[in-house]
Amino acid sequence: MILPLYNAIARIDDAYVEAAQDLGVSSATVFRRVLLPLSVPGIVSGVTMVFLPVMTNYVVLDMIYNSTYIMGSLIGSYFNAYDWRSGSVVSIIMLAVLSIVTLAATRVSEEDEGEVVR
Amino acid sequence: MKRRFQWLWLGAVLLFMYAPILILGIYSFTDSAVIGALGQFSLTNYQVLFTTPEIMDMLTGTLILALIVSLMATALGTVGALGAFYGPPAGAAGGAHHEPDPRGQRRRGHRVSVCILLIVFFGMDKDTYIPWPSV
Repeated sequence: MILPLYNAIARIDDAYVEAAQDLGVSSATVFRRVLLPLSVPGIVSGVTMVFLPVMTNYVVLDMIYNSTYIMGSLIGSYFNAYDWRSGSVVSIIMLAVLSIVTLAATRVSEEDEGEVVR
Repeated sequence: MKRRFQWLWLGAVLLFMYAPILILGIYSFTDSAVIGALGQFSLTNYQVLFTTPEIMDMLTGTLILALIVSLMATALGTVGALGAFYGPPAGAAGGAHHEPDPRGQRRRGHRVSVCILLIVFFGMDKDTYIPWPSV
């Protein structure tokens, strides 16, 4: 999460921050009105990088917690029981959810980068 | 010859990556539960999936968990990135813009710290009960 955000912040022109400070706004307002909107592509990228492993990872959760509510655990249980049909259905549902999230994130990121360029 | 090998290698890698997904997709639309036997085309599996409350709870539970973790990561990551970018470099007196220290080492350090906190200090193990809000 930190890496894409760090890169997004590093790409922001210092002149924007300096211009906002010259206009007399507080640091919190500079963050809210300048830094945060300009770092949205980094935030979207970071959220995607966190969201996807959380959706798919179940080994860690299984080790530290009873992962009854996790789809990955369900898929693993089905395949361990040689129930390919049910495991495939849940896998395809998860694939669809992840594809939708990835496409939406890519679209938002591209739109924001386009606005920054304009 | 080299170019042909590159295309072959690319094809093998793509096949290795996408063939399992394709097989899963095909199996999800059949009525066969046996490996190797495809059976007849059927949408019964999806009907069962969307009408079984336990499975729907798992779906929504996973989504809610991922959303909550993403929100927490956004808040903590924003603070971390701002701190890494505007904070003073380690071992230096000042300077706003700098190349950060090897962040991979820091992240590994954080993971180990969290593991030590949870397992050693809180005594957490696989059977530890954490109240989970009903979905």
